[in-house]
Amino acid sequence: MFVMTLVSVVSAGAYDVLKLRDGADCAALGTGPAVRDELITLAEGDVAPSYVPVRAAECLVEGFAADPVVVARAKAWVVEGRWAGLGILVAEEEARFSTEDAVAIARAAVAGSDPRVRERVVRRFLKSERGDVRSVVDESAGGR
Amino acid sequence: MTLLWLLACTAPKDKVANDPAKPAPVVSSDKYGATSDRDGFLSIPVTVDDGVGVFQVVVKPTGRGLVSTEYLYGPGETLVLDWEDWYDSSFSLTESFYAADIATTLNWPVRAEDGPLEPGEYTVVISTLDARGNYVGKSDVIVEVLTRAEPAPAAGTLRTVIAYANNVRDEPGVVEAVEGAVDYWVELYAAVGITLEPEYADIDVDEQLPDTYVGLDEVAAFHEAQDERTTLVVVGERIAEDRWLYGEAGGIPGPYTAGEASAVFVGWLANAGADAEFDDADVLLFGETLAHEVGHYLGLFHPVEDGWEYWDALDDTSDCSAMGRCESDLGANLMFPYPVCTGGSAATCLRQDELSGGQAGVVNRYVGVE
Repeated sequence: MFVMTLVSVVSAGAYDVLKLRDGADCAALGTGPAVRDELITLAEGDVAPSYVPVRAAECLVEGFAADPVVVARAKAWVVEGRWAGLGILVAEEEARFSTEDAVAIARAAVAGSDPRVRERVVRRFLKSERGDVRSVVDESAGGR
Repeated sequence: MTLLWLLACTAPKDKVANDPAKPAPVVSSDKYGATSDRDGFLSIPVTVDDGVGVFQVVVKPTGRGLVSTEYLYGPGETLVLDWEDWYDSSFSLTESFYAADIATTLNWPVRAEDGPLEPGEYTVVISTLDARGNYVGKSDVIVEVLTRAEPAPAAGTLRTVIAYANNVRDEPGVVEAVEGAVDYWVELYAAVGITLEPEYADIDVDEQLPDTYVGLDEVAAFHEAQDERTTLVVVGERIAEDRWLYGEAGGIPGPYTAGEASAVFVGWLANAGADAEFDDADVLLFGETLAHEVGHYLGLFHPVEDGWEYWDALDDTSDCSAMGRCESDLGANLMFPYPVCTGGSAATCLRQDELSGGQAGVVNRYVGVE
């Protein structure tokens, strides 16, 4: 009766896992570029309920943190207001990325032009246990 | 299986006696330590006096073992509830049959047909187990027995504290969104005769919350510091870093006693969506999530589980077996497993503001609805 027009076009499989109110298991989605691309579409698309994009991004960070495509998306999430929630979770989960990638993402966050997003994301990078990551945001915090 | 309570019971200690000079509280309680027998069983007596309508038995292991509820006997040693009737069933009545390391909680009666209670002595038989499910004898536990008067239809009150984890109050718009969501939750529960009395507080826990089934010592301490029993909702940023839960109840039903898992955890970030900002539709969805998760805590299962092969034990919720039919029959039900949305914004999600008469009865029979 209720047809999910948007998501049936986009990715009904991943959507059906992520839409459950009480929780979802990222491992149930599988791996590979097709899953990654589905998740990116869900994370960045206009999809309801609103927790689906956040969960899609969480699954990307959990399962694809070493993938350059995901690292590139993470750099965008930490600077753009429409994806501030995804940026927050990337900063909280920075330990899942290699140090090199985490430093690059933190640099992107520090250079972001939206001060509201920058403050929310940088504050979370400051909790990093890796000195290389912290030093990027420490400089930013000290300079403000 | 024979009754084992004569063998298993130890003398109650640390008993909290009600002052006979004062009117009986709506919820009375006994709390004591006990030890299972050599076979791993413990029988817990529950005295049901005239006027007692519901009881809740909460048993917590003191060590590393597990506990589960196995049987309930009524006056005259009548078998009322047998775990083997439900454990592998496609219908869910209570989670208390499933072994847990935090506590087993039986709130009785669950459905209208499970009651009313008869005056006399009931006996709840629980088992103590190891992590592999083997019975372990001579295990120490803490027992709490709560009783409440017969429910007055449409007159129950549920005290709830909404406690913010560290740093959450500092997030732009989150406090306003939570308060708006709670306002809607009040309306949702009022429709089934429950007056929700929310209060707001802070709790000194990290905003990255664990799985509620793991629990937090701070949750137990928070309850201990309260003047009255209450249900507790902890608002953090996210839940269980490896499980990605959106909002999660601490048991079906949850204990109305102090304990590490005596709370519902919710994460604000997922509720706010990709932009970390709550619009009006997000707030309504958040309110439904709060009502849904606390609904679990009060004893409600999903009317049908995703997969369409498992259902709640209620007769007045559809036993549908396909997604389309289930969304049609139950998509507006507060306890449906997911919001039914037809487009790309929360505004397109069907309002889930309905509970069946059977579901309303379950929540009104929760011992904490006073």
